[in-house]
Amino acid sequence: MSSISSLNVGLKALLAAQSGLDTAGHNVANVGTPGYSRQEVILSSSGSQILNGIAVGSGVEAGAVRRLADQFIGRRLATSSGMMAFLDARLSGLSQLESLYGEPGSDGLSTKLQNLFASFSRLAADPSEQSVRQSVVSAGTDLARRFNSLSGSLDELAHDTRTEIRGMVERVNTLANRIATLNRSIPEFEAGGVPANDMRDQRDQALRELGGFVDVKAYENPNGAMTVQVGGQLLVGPVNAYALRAETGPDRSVVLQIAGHAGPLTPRSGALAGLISVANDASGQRKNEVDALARQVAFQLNRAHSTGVPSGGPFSSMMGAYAFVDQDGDNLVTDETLSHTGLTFPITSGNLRVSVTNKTTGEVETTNIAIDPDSMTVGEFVAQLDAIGHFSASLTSDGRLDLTADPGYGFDFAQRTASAPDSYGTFGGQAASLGSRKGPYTFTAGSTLQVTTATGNATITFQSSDFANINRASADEVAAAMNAGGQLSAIGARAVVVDGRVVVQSLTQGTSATIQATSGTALTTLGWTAGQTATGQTNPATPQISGTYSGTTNQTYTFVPSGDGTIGTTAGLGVDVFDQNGNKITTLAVGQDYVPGTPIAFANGLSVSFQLGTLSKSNGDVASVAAIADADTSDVLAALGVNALVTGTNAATFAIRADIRADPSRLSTSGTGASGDNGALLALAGVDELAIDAYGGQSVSTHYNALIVSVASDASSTQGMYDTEQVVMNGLESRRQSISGVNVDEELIDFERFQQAYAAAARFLSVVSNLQDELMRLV
Amino acid sequence: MAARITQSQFYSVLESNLKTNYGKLALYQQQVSSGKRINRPSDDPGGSAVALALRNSQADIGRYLTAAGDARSRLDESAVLANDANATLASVRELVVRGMSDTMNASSRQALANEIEQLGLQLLQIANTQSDGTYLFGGTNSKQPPFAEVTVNGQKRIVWQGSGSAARATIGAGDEVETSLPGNQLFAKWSPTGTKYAGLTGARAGTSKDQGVAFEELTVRHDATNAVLGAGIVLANGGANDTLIGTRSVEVDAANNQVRLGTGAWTPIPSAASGQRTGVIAKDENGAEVHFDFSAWSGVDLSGSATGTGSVSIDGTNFTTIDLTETNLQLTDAVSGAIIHLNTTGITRSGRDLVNFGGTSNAFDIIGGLVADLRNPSGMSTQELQKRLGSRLVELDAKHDDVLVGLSALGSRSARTTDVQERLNGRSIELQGRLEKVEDVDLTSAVLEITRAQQTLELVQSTGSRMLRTSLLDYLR
Repeated sequence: MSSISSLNVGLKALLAAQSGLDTAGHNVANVGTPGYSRQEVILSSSGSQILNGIAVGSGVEAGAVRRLADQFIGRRLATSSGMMAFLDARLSGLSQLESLYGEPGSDGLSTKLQNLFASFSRLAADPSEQSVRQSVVSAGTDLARRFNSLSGSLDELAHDTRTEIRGMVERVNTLANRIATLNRSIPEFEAGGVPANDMRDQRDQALRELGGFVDVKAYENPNGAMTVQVGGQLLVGPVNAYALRAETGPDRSVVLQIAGHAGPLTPRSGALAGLISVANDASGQRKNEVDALARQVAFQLNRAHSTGVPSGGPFSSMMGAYAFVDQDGDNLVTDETLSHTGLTFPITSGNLRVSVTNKTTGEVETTNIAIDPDSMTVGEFVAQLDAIGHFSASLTSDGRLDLTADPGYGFDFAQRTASAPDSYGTFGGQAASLGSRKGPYTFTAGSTLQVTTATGNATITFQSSDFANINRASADEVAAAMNAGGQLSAIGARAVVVDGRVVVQSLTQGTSATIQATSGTALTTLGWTAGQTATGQTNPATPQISGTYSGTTNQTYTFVPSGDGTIGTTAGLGVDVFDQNGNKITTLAVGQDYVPGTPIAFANGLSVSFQLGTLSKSNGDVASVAAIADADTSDVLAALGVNALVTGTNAATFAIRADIRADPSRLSTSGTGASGDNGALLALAGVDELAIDAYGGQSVSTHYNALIVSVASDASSTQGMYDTEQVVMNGLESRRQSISGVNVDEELIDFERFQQAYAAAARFLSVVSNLQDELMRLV
Repeated sequence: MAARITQSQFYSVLESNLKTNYGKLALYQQQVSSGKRINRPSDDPGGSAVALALRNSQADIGRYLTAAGDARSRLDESAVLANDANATLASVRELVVRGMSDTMNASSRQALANEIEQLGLQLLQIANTQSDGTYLFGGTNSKQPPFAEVTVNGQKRIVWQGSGSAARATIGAGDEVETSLPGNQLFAKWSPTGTKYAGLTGARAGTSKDQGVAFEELTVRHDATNAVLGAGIVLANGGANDTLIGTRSVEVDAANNQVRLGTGAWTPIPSAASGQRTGVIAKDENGAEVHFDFSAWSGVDLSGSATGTGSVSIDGTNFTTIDLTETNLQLTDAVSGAIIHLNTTGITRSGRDLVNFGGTSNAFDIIGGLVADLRNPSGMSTQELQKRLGSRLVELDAKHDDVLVGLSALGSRSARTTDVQERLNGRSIELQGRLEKVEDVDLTSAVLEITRAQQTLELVQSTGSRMLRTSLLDYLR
């Protein structure tokens, strides 16, 4: 063994101990550095030399300094922290979102809704009370303000979050650029064969930070550069980083894009994903829910309000709030069908009843308009309204409905039940009348009918052109055909329609008036026998309806005598009452024990009384009355915003109609037009309990509660997920720490160990040196 | 490999434990200070759902309670007035009964009439009482006085112009109560009992029912008398002043100088010297009169007969000759629209008979009629007056009954709202209890939790600080 090599062994031992101390020092220095992985020196013994046939060791070899890190745990940790960042961002956003609703509390929509319903109910107790009326308007305005402010705060939250997102995108780009810079440095450094441990730690740290914003996938190239992908798209390449941009999409949602990629980027974890989900919630689902609620509330309130009458009585003019919009691009709305006119609220198949009141006489004329939104055009609808007497309807230039009554007249859409159902006098009236059987009828072309009155006789010939379908001729068509030629009016007679039956009637009254179905081939079709004659009378039966209809749906009641005879005289005489389906409801006894003028209840709060008159079943006496629970079953008024309580089609525009706000007396209170009636108010208060089809039969309040619970569940389940993820994260972190963490005590032991090794190596060198000195002295 | 523990693990474990315990403390602290377990819905979404539903129910109940309270105050107000009406009608009745007495003279009746007229005005005032600007008894027609004076056929009458429908209040889900009683049920209830005649002329109701409202006057006119007489006795003035309808026997008892008609009382024949023999009035058992002229009487007995013919009219202008076999004679008053059917077989004399369409007149009509009768401008006899007043009194009693029935209806409705109020109050308290259970914090357990969290926190702090203080450095030299 040469002393030179012994010196080498000593030197190597010194250097090894030195690097061991350095590494331990480095570890201690980085004990608080986030993401730092403990390093250690790899020591190995040098190969042995054969000296004089004896293998002698050549000392220690200090190899590379290596990082103690588990790639697998590192990746799991990155995923988990990305998820944590996502949940954290979402949680703080959701808790802000939740607080916007202000539930539970007096400022919540729930309370505002209940206050409004309570005020309706309060006013219903005394509809004329001005102060209570004002409080209804205040409660409505309060609700409107709450809707508006909720919509505004949701917008604000979405806007603020979008601003935060843009800031975060800047951070992502900074981190991506740092990784790209390190990507360029690391291969250069490691080309020297030395691992760039600290640069890698920096890059890992940047990657980890990046993982807090977006979900990253990183792959290391053989040369040490790292490519980073976000949602399958390249964010950082071996050399360059690609810029991330945040934009607001057409549906107010946030869209992320990486330069060079066409498709949008959808991060699934990280704070950015959390913020985007919050922004999209606030401007998307939650906003839509609130808007839909506002729409539903407005629609239901308007449905109840539109058929009411204010305390001032019928309207003299009224304009719709919502406009018909041209759909086919010909700048003409009149050719559109009602179901296809760009209205927010749906028009359904049903009837609209318009009542026009003569303000001087109090006389009311009610017109029924049947609405089939799929076939009726806007033009037809307006024309039918306009055709009503003393009333005009037109469209404004912007497509809204404009209704006006003639001077001295007023109109409304109240639930009026006619008090005198027999307007033609076909039920024991003074004129002679002959009623047919109930239609539809099967005619043959060219069939005839000869009618004779005291004045003369007339022959009517029916043609197939008179009917849409000659095999199913309606009573209206038959009557129109009879009146068309003028033969009937020439002999002092006319044909009218009562409840789907044709009635021929003399124009004169009294016992001298007669009408006879003389002959003709149409006799049997209409249910008459040849020569059947009816005579007029002096005392009419004059049915009179009283009471308020309490049924829930519209109904038509038809009165038909059960036999022939005189009211109050003929034993056993009765009047059969049928509903609109032809079912007999009851028979009213009007025979010898009936005192004329006595009201007899027949259905749902309605009664009828008769005067002394002679009824004839065989001559087809008939009268019918429409009992109205809802004067607008088509909802066309609510859809057009005619006599609306609320205007606006979403939460931001929800408002109590301006002229009601200005003058609370315009609030509709009466359901029937009577000044003290509170039907409209009861209906408005009843909106609270109304089962809404769109909500699966739930009420508005219940639905709103479900919305609140859904917002709350979102926040609470996110909190739960955050807590779970925290546990996972803690576990992973402790495993990472147990591999890569620095234990100061451990390092102190290393200090001791390497210090001792260093001292021992120095001692060895001094021994070798002494040995050499001894040798030198010998020379 | 055994897990390595590092210092930073100490720190992070300690930090997270401290955070958890501080969080718990803050939570319980908030719960205790607000008294609420749920401060925002996400604190307990399930509980919030229940709480929100309970709050809705409570709001509904509050609404129903207000409505029931309002309804009750209106009903009670109406009941007080109905009670006043009851007292007024009782006073009217008392006065009318006094007026029917035989001992009353015309001027006392006049005074009674004035008094009753005042009571009628008082009743009208009650019926037209306003509360908060609406007429209490107007039904849903609350802006017009329910009873107003109008001129019908030249006669001033008080008529009902309110609405028979009462306003309703919702005092429960699908539960409504009427908040008033329309005045027609109190003062103008239509409960026909058939046509009645005061009974002066013997006219009766025919077989068919009649059409009419309140009262009409049936005029039975005497047209002529045909007599089979002799012994120089003739009809005075050709029978112009007679009231007899139908045939009666005429008997003259010369021995006692008296004459009688039918089975009526004997009328003495004045002496020839008195010069009063030209106008001897014989009355039959029904009070029908025939005037005889005895001035040329031969002084012998006579057994003859007298037959009066007449006509009837309901409107005073169109007369129909009486055929005493007709049981269903139809008479029409074209102006009022009234149609009556008359059984003429019992008509015995002429006169004006009060036709009462039983149960169709209103209280004011009846009182007006009573006043008019008591003033007696046409000079009716006490007997006639009593018959008419009696007929009207029956109607007045019916109205009185209506007011009593109305009073009890108001009372029972008021009682119902009281019941509902009690039930709703009970339910509200129960809901409040359930709401508190869901929303409010259980203070005892919350305070216990705070103590526990505090202890845990202190433990974590003390053990943590002790762990952190340990370092190998303390022992290495």
